Amino acid sequence: MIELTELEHDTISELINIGVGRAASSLSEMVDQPVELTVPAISFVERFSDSELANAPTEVVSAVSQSFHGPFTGEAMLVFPEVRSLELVRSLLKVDVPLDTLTDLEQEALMEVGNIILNACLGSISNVLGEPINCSMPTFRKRETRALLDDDTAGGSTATNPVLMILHVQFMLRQNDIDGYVLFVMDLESIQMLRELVRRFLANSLG
Amino acid sequence: MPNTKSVLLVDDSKFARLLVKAFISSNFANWEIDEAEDGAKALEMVDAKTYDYMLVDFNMPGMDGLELGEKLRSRFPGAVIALLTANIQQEIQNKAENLGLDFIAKPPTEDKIRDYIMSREATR
Amino acid sequence: MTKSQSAKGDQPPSFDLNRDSDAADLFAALLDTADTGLIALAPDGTICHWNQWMQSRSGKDADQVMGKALHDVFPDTKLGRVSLAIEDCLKFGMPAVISPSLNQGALPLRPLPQFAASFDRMEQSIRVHPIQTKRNGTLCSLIIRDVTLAVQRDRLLRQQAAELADLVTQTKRSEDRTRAILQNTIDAILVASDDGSIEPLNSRAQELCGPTGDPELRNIIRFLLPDSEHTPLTPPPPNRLLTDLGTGVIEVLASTLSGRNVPLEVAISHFSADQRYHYIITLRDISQRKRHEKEIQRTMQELERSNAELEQFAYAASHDLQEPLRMVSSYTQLLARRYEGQLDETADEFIHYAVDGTQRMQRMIDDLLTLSRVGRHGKPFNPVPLDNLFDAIVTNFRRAGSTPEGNIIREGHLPTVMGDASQLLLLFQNLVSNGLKYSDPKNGQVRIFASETPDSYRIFVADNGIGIDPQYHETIFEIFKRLHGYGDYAGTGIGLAICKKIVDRHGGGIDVTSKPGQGSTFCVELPKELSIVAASESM
Repeated sequence: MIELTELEHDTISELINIGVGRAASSLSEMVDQPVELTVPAISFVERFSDSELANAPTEVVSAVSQSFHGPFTGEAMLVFPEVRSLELVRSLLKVDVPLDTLTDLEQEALMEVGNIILNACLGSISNVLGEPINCSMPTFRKRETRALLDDDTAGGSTATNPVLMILHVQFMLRQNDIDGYVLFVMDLESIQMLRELVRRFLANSLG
Repeated sequence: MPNTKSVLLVDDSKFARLLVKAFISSNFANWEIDEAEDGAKALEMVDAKTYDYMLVDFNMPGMDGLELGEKLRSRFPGAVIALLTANIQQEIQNKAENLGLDFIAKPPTEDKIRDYIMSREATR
Repeated sequence: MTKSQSAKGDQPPSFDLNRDSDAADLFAALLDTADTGLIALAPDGTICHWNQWMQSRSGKDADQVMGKALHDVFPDTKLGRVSLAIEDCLKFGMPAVISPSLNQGALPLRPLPQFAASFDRMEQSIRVHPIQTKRNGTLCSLIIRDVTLAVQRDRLLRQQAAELADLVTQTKRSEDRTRAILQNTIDAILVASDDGSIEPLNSRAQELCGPTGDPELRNIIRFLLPDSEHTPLTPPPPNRLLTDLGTGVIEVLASTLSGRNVPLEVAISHFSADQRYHYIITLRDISQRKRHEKEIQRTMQELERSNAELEQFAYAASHDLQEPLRMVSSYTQLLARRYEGQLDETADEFIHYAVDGTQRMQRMIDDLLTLSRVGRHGKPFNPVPLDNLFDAIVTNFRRAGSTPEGNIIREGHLPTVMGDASQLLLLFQNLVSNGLKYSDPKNGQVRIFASETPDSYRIFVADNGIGIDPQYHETIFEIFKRLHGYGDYAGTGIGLAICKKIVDRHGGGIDVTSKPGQGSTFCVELPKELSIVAASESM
């Protein structure tokens, strides 16, 4: 079971917010236009099917994922419905291509966007909690929502009974708002470790 | 430092407020530190009390830090107001500068907060 | 492991990766032969490896850059994203993807010569990796791939996609328009392919061939199309398909399930597309026209019947009246011959009136018979040279001695027309006689001349007589219309009616222009080509 006090929950939110804030300013500088990135809600679920994302199981989503290893281990993912990912990349690149799938280069751009956001979130947590986290290179996947967490590599890193930390993220660009999700897929042990680190940090800082 | 100053922290994150409050109290004992969780609450509080320092989070539900900063600046032209944010993109920075707001990059650390207040105290 | 390998393994290998010098040689060679840029940075951000590829693409030799930070090697380039990624990599061990789309020409590297025209810098896809070492902490590697070709292809793809989208939009717009036109056409339009399929193209066609339409209609259409090997055809019921051989118009009777019978005119045209033959079938609802046609037919029949009756009556009446009249006439003439001067003066006068009356009646009956014969006993039409015709008329008048020499004047050549010679003779003789009758007997003059329109000949008969008041111009052609008392001018009031009837039979027209005291001009207009009605009557 995941039991977090309000303050612990708030702390994780704030760390994430700091991360996405940094990511937004990096992106803004890169694409030379204002980019705002907010995290309106963070929730924890024990089954993927309990998440809001799973409401549309056959919707095709684009996901950029990076696995991370450290005191806590798992996989971080930036997920958009495919249409939204097209919108996002094209409004960041300021082009309007009448194609309904991402081109290879657009796919790589989305990968970079995911990389920047996920690095920032993980970096923010790692930085504040003072614990180094190792991340893998991002990979791209496109599939139906219900198969999002299926592991392609036999005996991969994804935990058998994952707990999900789901961040609802909102891009606010000059022309449109685009909603997506950041998922942290961890096993129970890892999430307990995260909570423990947060507690320790709070005790040190406020103590 | 014998003289007592007053600080208003505006942030929707309780954690952030606690953190900044801890950093200030451990360096500037006896300072009065009040907290508000959003812009509306902050505006209510400045009606009752005048603050020397107002540290405002940028990213808040409802009124954002820039909007609140603009209102506070027009009411307290001489006050020290700083915007705390991880999002340091040019457009936000320009707007903050135009309003005479200082900038503190998130995450707040004890060094950052202490150095900022020390430098402001020195120029007073 | 195989035996041969283990056998070889007995001898000391000439190359051993466990020997440091061998490994260093190999790795250096591998790095330099790689077709990607490889840069390694020490924990302090200074360059500790710069492969051959980097040297040739950046124009900077390894010994120029070793030990320097990247921003010192490229002082004029804003390395924003690259610098941050390197920092995050060295500080937090974060890997990074640097895409060409979001970072155009991140490093100032030269494109290959073939791209130099359209690209200032090489397009790069960069990966930033942390490298954990045992002795030196975290290093950072940059792997740079040249993706200029991919970017060029992507640009082309976008351009083509945009052009295609434009084309699709345009096509769609014009298609929408065509569809709207098709949908709003009153005629039903269908397209049939040579495989026997028939597809309704608009709503009217859907109505007729759809579920509430006529189930038989598709079969009838198939039957009308040129032979198709695909479907055996059953001829439609004969009452459903009417073909007018004369005009080639095909008519179909659709009997819809909603209970309506709709006569349709069918038009078929064809076109070929996709190497196949297609037929466009247009069905026009001709209910309205059919109704009108029927009405006209009925009116015509009615008219013909009553005309025939009338002619029959006129003939019978005049014929049967002749017998008793002849008797009255004979006996009054006998009375006059035998008893003239034997009775008193008053009796002589009475007898004279009786004789005159019977003579006039005889003329009227003769004229009536003539009139009824125009319709009943017409002769076939032949070319009639009017010059000859008028020669005969003049001869007739001279023989009768009823007219002075030279008062019938022909001006110019008269045409040859198609017609019944004896009726035309009667027509013009009547007109000439009329002209002379209503003129001063001594100075009376009739001029005959002709003109031509693209479709007709006009023959004019003009006199210098008393003229006709315009209010009578229409009515003088009606039977028994006399404008004058019997005493003033001889005549039965049937002459012009006969003229009119003859002209009608020839598909022409007759009218008069006149002013009282200034003579009258009758104009007979005869068509050059006989109308179908006149032609069929002339047979």
